[in-house]
Amino acid sequence: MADATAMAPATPLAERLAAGETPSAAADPITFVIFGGGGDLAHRKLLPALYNLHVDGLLPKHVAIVGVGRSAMTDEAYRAFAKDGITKFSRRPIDEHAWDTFAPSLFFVAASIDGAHGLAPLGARLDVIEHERGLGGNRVYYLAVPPALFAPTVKQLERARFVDRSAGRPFARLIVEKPIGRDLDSARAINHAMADVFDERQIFRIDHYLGKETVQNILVLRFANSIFEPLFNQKYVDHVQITVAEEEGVGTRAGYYEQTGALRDMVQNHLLQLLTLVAMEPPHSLDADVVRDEKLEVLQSLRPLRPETVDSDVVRAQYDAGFDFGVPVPAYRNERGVDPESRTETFVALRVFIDNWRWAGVPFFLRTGKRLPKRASEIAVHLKDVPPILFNADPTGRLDPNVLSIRLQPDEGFSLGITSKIPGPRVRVYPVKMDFHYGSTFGGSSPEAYERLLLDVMTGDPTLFMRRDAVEAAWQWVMPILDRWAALGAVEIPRYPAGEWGPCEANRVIESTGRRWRAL
Amino acid sequence: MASAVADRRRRASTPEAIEADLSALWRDIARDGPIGCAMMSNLVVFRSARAASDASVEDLFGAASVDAVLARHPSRVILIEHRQESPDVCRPLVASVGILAFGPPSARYGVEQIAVRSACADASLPSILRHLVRGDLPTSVWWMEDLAQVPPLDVIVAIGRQFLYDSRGWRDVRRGFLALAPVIDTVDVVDMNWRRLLPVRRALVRGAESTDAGWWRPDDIRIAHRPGDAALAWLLAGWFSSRLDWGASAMPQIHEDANADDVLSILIGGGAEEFVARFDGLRVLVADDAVEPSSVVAEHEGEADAVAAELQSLSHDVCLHDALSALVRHFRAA
Repeated sequence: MADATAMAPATPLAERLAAGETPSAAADPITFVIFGGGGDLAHRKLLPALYNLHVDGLLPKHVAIVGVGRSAMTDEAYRAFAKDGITKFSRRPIDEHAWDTFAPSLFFVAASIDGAHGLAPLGARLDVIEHERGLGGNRVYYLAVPPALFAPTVKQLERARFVDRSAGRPFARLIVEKPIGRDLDSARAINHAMADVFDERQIFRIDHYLGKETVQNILVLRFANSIFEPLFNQKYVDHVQITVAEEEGVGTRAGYYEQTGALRDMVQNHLLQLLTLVAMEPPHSLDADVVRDEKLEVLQSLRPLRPETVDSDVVRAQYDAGFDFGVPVPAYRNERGVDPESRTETFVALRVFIDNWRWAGVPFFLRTGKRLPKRASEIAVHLKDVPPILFNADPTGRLDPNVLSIRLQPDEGFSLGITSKIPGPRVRVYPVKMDFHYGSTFGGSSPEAYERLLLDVMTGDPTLFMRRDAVEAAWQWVMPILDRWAALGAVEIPRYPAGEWGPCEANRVIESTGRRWRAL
Repeated sequence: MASAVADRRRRASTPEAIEADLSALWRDIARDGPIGCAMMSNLVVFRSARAASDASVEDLFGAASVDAVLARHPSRVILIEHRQESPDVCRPLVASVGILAFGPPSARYGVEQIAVRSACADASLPSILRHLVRGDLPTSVWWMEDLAQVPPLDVIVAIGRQFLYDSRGWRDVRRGFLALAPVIDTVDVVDMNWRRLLPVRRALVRGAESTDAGWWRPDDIRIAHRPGDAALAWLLAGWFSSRLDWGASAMPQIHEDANADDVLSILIGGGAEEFVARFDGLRVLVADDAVEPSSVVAEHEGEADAVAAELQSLSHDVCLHDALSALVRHFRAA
């Protein structure tokens, strides 16, 4: 039976009233089709995000969420699976009333991407669901599957005639998760396979870091305040540090991580994306392609690495046995599912230069790793020292430089380190912070990155998603590192004890320039 | 004048829940009115647990001296009570969090306290501290133990930018100074006793300006100290040695005077050119045959004022460093 609230054509009155209004929610009816719908990503992130969008009234009134997997599961079982994920991982406790109105939109279909007609059961079921719920055929296909399955799945979507490349309605959109490939060639192959079926405007490549509130706030901070942007250049900035630190070890992801490593898992995407946001030129508008053009420009301005600069400016390492908050934890090589002889890097530190007018000569230091002392991500813009006169004249007690620190997680916010006089009759100075915390300023909990990103897909806004050319430019820059490491063969790589900020070799990268890694 | 503690909230916690429990305490205390979080630095306070303790970890917060320092130098306090175990032993950590509020209702500010009782290998401590410190603030380590009994742990000292201790009352001066050997070249060292010595050093500088004796030599100087102030006397000796470029084996004669009223008395030279300085804790009285008697008054400050003042001074004290280096060389050579 058709949904009683099935979409009615917009009335002239409603159209008139809505004219000029900014849509606060996705309005078009949509069917979300999640390949890998019974998997970990759907359980932990996607279903809780969709639930929270529903609670906030941001999902379209008419929606269906269809999980797709190889193993059969009833709709009821899938709803229980979703409820479990929401209960465990949602940022807010489950509300029974909200759940009761959300659950009927969840369905599950067993289908395979093998064979010529593997998706036929899915097509048949979607037809029924969309008809019954009054959905107009707009679909978002979310590939929550390993990258190796991207191309075959997309091919099956084409074969099943699920995709119309025209810009009209109903629309079909594709979401893929990073990593897009494991090197430039495989990334190009995946992009090519997707481009055979979908137009670039229909493809949304997710880097969930870009959905974080603080990451979005980087552009606001830079371009909505007159105080910062004039300083963001080689005249005032001494260097920039970008850190994405994870406290956890490889956990249950050994199979994936062994094939990936920190460079592919974090640097090629998250860290380079953060770098582009902090270094890009002001875009002339907030149009998605204008913003993405400026980010691409940064990637294309990265100084290419040569084998000898890889050796001097890039450090990889692997965690050894150590401690996590006082508790002994095993070495990476002793983790379950990891090759005891593994050379996979769990830590990378790099020195990077952007060869453009704005950033000429300013080093950007990037580091990321597992089993570091805490989960913390930050961009720290270190301004140049004041001259060694007046308050900075004492050679034994140089003033701390001003640092603008943008905290991405946890405790999202930013702070500006300044030097201040200590109250009292004498002139004594001390480094203090001007501090902004999202939590204490705006209250409540910020939306999860996936909520924002899924909403953007529904409304068709690709600003926070990676464009094909940017993905390939990032791989192109990373390839000399991978090539050099491959050429070195199975050499031992440095180790660092779990619970420390990486190996001493990483200190060399920055201390050789007279600077130090910032403690987080 | 520093504020008195206006409110105090505490709760038991677990290592994983420390930040969440602190947030909950902030929400709790904010119900009584606006309150700001004051945080100039991380203050790591180290104590050694010599035996398994059944006392609640919240009792670790009991030190009034720490509260008084926080009123003057608001910091995120991380109090570690550590019992050294062999590398293969690691008992569960016990944690507690608290917020101390200061100031009038219209301008309240609070500071965070975290207490952790650890019974693990020393090597595990950095993983705890690195987790808890705010990296964008200066970190000071306050060693509340007698260094002669509990030498500083490299792994903790390395966390800080400043290492603060008090040599007053050391039972074994030689061991105490030697325990500092690995530390003095790696961080800024602060000895509260050195601060007490300041008026004495000023008085001696003045005396040196007026004396006709030429260069002071180790044999010219005799230092007497009252019981419990041996370290102060040796710090002074180290200062002489480093400033006057004496060799490692050359030091003034130092002896304890069980009946002394003065903290220190310094006798330099003899006969017609005798120079005497007596420090009674409040002032230094200088008697010199060549000039009129004079005095240098010690700054009147409580222990908390002194500690807070040192925490707020992030510059490297070259004189103390050199004096300690001279003492380390001397005791190694002896």
